Amino acid sequence: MGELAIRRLLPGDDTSRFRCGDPEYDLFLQRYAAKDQDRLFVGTTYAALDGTRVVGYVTVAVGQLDRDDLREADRGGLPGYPLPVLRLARLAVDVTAQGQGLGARLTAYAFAIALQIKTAAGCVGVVVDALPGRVDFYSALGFAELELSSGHSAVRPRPVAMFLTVATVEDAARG
Amino acid sequence: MAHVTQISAQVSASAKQLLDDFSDASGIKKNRIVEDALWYYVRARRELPESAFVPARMVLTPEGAAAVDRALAAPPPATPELVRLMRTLESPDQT
Repeated sequence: MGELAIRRLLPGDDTSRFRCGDPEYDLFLQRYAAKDQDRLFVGTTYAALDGTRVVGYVTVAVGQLDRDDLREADRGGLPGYPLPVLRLARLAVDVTAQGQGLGARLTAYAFAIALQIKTAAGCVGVVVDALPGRVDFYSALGFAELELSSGHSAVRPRPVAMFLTVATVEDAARG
Repeated sequence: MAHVTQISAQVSASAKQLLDDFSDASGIKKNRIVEDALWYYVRARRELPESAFVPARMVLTPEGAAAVDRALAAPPPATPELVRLMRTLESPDQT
């Protein structure tokens, strides 16, 4: 496998051979990812490519954190809800590329998008929908579990929503 | 003129604010925004399975909001793992 490029998923990209070990993630890439971003605008998928073949992807969407328990009079001193965030909704790597750091590269790529959005339009943090087996990975990166009353991902098994401030990501980017 | 009717719905204060702000900024009437949004939403939900849909709005519990407020007021320092990860950083393409 040569040097992998990461860029926005395009209609001609070969997704047909993608197998990550979870059929739902394969099906999402092959059937819905392009539809999501090109017609329904509910998320954007960035693909890692070996030639024209997709061997990994990350799907992100802009979102907002909100709270309904706060009266206008109580907002003084608190952040201006709703808070804009980048939601890292899906990340998967083909079995042929697993164990080579591609998942980390795709995660860093999503963080770079969050930094761009912060500058361009505002973004206070990243929310990741972490599959149960990946919670430790994201905890090690500084993510903390987010207690939501609604807006959970409908993926099964249900992911754990986790949050990291974009200021922390900036701190890390400065090294 | 097309037949029109009236609906009422209880929504969150922030949704109402979003509607008001967007209408003021765009000059589009609120009834047009609500009607267009409904058509887009239903079309999306018909074409995508539930699991493919990424909810844009996440509502925090009071405890969740308090944790987010604390994190924003005093962002946690980057962990060594995060610093290592960001060394692989590359600029997203602009397409």
